[in-house]
Amino acid sequence: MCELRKRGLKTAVILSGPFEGLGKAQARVFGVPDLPLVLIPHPLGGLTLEQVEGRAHHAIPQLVKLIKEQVL
Amino acid sequence: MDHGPRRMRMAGLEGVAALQPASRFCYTHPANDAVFSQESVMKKVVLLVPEAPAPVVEAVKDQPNLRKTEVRLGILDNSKSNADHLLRLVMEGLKAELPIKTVVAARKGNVSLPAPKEIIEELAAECDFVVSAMGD
Repeated sequence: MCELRKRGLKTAVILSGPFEGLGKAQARVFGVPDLPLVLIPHPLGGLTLEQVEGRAHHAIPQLVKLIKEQVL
Repeated sequence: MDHGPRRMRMAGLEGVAALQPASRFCYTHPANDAVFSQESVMKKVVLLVPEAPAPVVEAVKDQPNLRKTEVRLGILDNSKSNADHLLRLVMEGLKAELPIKTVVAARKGNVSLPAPKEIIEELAAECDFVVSAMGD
């Protein structure tokens, strides 16, 4: 994602809460400190499909906002 | 020939050695068998600071900010558990709320490695906005 962002593409990375610090650190190290991070509740792995749907409902409004701001 | 603590004791450098973490203290001398003064040893001490330099960041040059009426969406699955399901649901949700023109979906084969160049090239050429899920 950092590589795509460096090319000027609009991007976003979905991650769960405990990984926010890691995501920010990696984005900074790879040269794109402004990489948008979309936070969802932890965890994601091991959840049922219904639970994953709940995570998606956290991410979708954030992504809609980003896309409206940056693309449309 | 051992150039470690015994040499340093011979040169009267116990105090210096004790203050330096082993990984940060290095000392060499070409004359292996010579007993040399503290001053001559001190000139050979090299301190290594294990800190990487701050990365040089070039400002990202955004693609021309031409407002679009439709979005070419990219999806990059890093192959972690449930990332595929999450991204499919996200894509369906975005399609319901935004004018999504096309979707390019890609999946990394190895979660620990960067996306292959061909995936990067395809997403960069075919998409306006790319979403990735790292899962947990």
